[in-house]
Amino acid sequence: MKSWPFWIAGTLVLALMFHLAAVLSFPHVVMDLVHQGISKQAGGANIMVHPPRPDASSRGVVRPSPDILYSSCAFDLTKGPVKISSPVPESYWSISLYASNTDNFFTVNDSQTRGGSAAVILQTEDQNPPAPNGIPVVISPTPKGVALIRALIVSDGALPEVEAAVKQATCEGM
Amino acid sequence: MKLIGKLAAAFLIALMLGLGSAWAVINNMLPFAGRGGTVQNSAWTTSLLTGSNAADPYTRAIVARSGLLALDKSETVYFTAFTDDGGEALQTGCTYGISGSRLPARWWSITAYGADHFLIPNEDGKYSEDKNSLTWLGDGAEQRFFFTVGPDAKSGDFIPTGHEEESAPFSLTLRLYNPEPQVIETPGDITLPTLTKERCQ
Repeated sequence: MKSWPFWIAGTLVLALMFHLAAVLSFPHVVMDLVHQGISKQAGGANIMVHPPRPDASSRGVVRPSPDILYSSCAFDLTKGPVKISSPVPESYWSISLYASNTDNFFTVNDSQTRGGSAAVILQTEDQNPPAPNGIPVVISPTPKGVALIRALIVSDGALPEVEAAVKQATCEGM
Repeated sequence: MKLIGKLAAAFLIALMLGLGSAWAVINNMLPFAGRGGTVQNSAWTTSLLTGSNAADPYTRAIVARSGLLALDKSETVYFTAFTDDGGEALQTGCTYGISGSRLPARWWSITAYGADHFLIPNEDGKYSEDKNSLTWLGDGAEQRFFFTVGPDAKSGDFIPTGHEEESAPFSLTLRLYNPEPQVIETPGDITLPTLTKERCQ
């Protein structure tokens, strides 16, 4: 009996399994690296970092926009909810939240906020947040993830002002 | 012993095939996988699934490689061009003219990225042009902009592509922040900037 067709079929099935495992795990692996990178820069999870305006030496995240100041926080909800707050400048600004599989599960931008500042409380489904005081509560699909604040640098002259505003953004365990 | 050898060979071949094909898909080198939701508009391509939770595993893997932490389409629609309007790959050793009119978004920018998906080092520290930085010619709805992208781009509005010894492929990303509804509804039909090759070194 010829056995080579079985060998070829078996090899292909195994190849398909490796292929799917690689495609499915890749986003998690990459997010994990980003989470570790931000935590390392910040000195831990749930701390906001304010890197300088992206330039050719930036290696944090692929395809950064040189017109945006990014502040980020590697959140970890395993010990409880986390509060993220930031002043809102006059030009485009947003807070976006990413789960550990890269999904962008929540975003709020400047035109959806009032009063020059914004905050959200981030928690997992089974947590009860301490009295939110009118602050919107967002359920994270995964206990770990990344919060990213974007603030547009409308012109080079506007940089100091935008920088001063986003430096006040915080991320803190509750 | 023969069987163990055969098994080991089959395992290695499967590993190479599986990981190799996954890497090819993740780097968007294959035309079929992960193309759900991809829209072509002249030289520009966009995926409205970027940043959304409906993204299939292939789109998610591609985004993790080349557009990690991207925003969802109501915040920003990203168009990327790897070629000029003639269909030829963008090269850092060539100079391109980019021209267009008002774009349907609150704010927009065009940024050049090297083959490694990072900003291209250049003497001017200049990586992008945007709605406010460009010189607008003409009046009202007829207003147009023009800028050059290339190694020796220096006058008027420009993005330099550096002076690496060998010409390398690069790409451009057009970001439309808070786009108007038509961008999300018919991304293939809106008028996007033209990319014309002017000369090569």
